[in-house]
Amino acid sequence: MSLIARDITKSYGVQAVLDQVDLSLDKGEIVGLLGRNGAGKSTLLKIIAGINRPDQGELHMGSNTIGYMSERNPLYPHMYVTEYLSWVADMRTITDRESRVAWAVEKVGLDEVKTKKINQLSKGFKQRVGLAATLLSDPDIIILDEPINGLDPIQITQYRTLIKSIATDKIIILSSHLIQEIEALCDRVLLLRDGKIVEDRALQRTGSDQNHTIILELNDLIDITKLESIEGVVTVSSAPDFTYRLEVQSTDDIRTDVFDIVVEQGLKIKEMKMEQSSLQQIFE
Amino acid sequence: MKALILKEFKDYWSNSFGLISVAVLLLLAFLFLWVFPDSNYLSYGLAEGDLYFQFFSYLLLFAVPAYTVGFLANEYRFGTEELLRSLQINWRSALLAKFVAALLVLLMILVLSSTHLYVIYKLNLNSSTIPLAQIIGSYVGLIGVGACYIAISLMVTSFVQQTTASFVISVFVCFMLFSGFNLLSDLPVFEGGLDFWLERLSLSYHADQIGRGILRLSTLVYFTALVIWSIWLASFRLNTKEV
Repeated sequence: MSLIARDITKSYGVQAVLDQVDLSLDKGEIVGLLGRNGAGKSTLLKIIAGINRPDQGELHMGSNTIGYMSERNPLYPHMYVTEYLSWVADMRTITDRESRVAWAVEKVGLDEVKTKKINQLSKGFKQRVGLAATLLSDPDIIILDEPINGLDPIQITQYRTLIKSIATDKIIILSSHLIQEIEALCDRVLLLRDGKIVEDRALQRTGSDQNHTIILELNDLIDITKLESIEGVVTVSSAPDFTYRLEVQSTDDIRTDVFDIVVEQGLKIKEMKMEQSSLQQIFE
Repeated sequence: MKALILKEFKDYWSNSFGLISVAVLLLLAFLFLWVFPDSNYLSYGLAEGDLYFQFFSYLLLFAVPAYTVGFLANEYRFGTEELLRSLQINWRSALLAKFVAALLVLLMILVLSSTHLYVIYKLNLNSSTIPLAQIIGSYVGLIGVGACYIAISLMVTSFVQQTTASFVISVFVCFMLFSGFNLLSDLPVFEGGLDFWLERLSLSYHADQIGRGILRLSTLVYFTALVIWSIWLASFRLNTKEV
């Protein structure tokens, strides 16, 4: 199961919103789409969801089904929760309507409000109704546009747990302009700026970025190939003052390996420090 | 489709607007037909349905756009236009559902107001029988005109999102179609030429024909074409619109 977008371009009038966007997503991934307001996140998600058409480019998603919850989370306010979900199930021609609605209500924790009208619900519960409607047809690809907008901290935590619990066999794409939200929830982040994906990197789901840099200052020259042989080291660069910069892509702390190699070479460490190349730096 | 129609119909009655608007319409009908001087049946002097049908033709000119624009304007208001798209619902089906639901509301208004007609004919001293054929003919004409008003209001609302503006424009277009062309045909400049066609372009002409028991193929084609064209145009507009 995968989703591939090629060369997606979209303009509104003379304003280019998306500029030749390429992406490829796989099953089990929670992908965060990060960008400032107006970066093109919602436009890209709407195109993937089939709501708007691109001016150029193509999408390949095979027979995968899509569930989409927009930023505004539009609902019919006068409908009751279960009435609304049943209607969505009818629209999606779900055959075992009753059981699917009951499953979705239980899954997103709507039991206590299922007999209430939607306009009587808090923002958090409305978000859950939107998510329940999105999950009803058990879609392969779930698209959530700014899903935590307006939620309080407790609701955000509950929402994260919920998203993680449904992520195992699906592709989940969520957009946000909040870095900490993406870091807390996603396996991968796509940074969108001026309609282009300027960064595509893996994240640890525990919340920290697995890309970092080790800066090493020694008393003499070292054989760089030894440093490059450490698992997770992507590149090593050096400066004339025996300072080495190791770009690392690993979830493990490799500083002990670096230490062993330096000692093995008969050298001394003047200083060794680790810098997180955080999303914040890239975002800014 | 059934689920869509049911939802639309229930939506209409789910808020106070639905009930209040129908109640106000019925009250207006009562006031005009029985209370207000000059327009009431007692001043009219004839216990026939003509005044009733004439009055309703004009009442629906305002009433139908007033409640029909809400069927689409509420989708814009609640942002559910995007929801319908995400559910991959065909706009043509959604519009047809709205059309049918609005038509059901119209039928309810007409059924509820038919008590006036019953009383009118019961007051007729010359005859105790009710001319059913004539009444049915007039009702068919009224429903045909109402159906056209609904389709036009939906079409206008698909282009104009602002509720008040779409209501005003809908009333204008409906008025032009109901009697605007008929009035234009009376202008001397069209005499002996376009006046024949202008008259036939007006809904009132076709409604009158049906009321007199004359149901022509051209009338059926005119009503049907107007409804289909309006729904098609609205669906084209919504399909090509970006949200």
